[in-house]
Amino acid sequence: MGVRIHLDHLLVKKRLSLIELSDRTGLSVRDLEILRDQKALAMRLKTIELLCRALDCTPNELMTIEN
Amino acid sequence: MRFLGPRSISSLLKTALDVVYYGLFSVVISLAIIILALISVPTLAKNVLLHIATLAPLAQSLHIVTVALILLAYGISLSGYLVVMALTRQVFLTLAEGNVFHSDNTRRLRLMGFCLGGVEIFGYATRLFTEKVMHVPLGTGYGLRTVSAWFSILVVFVLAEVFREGAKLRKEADLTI
Repeated sequence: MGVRIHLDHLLVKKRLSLIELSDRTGLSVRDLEILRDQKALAMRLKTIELLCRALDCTPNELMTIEN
Repeated sequence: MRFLGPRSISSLLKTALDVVYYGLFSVVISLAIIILALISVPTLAKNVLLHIATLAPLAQSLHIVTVALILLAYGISLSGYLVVMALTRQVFLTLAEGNVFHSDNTRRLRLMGFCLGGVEIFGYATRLFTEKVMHVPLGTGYGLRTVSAWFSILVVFVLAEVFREGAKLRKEADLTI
């Protein structure tokens, strides 16, 4: 069981690139790549808020728990 | 006063360790040459023994193989310290770069602990062999020194675990977005 972050899916849906998302959120492209590639071990509440605001989505859309 | 990173105390210590390492390296190489010389030129053995204070009285009675064995034991012991020195240099290199919790430092410190333990045990074995088999009296001197040596070895192993925990925390911090 693990948490899956649907960043790639949301980026396609919103027609955004990682660089554009980086500009909108202030997060580095490297950090966004870590999130997109499912390599992150933890996410700060602030990061979730920034991503949700930039992608206009809810935390539930951003990530799900997988079996 | 900075203790970590470039132009700090650890950087200064790294330079000092470099000097000691190359000095020790020269001594080990010299010993290897002396051992080879002793085996090649048998008369050298007695002359060398005469210059080692504790072994001077035995210069007349010892066989060349014995002398070579004693020097070989010194050489092996020094080689152990050379490995420890090389590992310490690598650890201090990461400290001087400011990269404190480098994942390789755990392995280096553990290896350092095993090397120090090995050198210590080798020292006991050599001492026992020299005194009991070769009948060369080396005198006392293994009391408090032994305790401090094993204490240091245990401290090195504890430090290795500290570095392992630090490296783990650092990895977690790096992957926390």
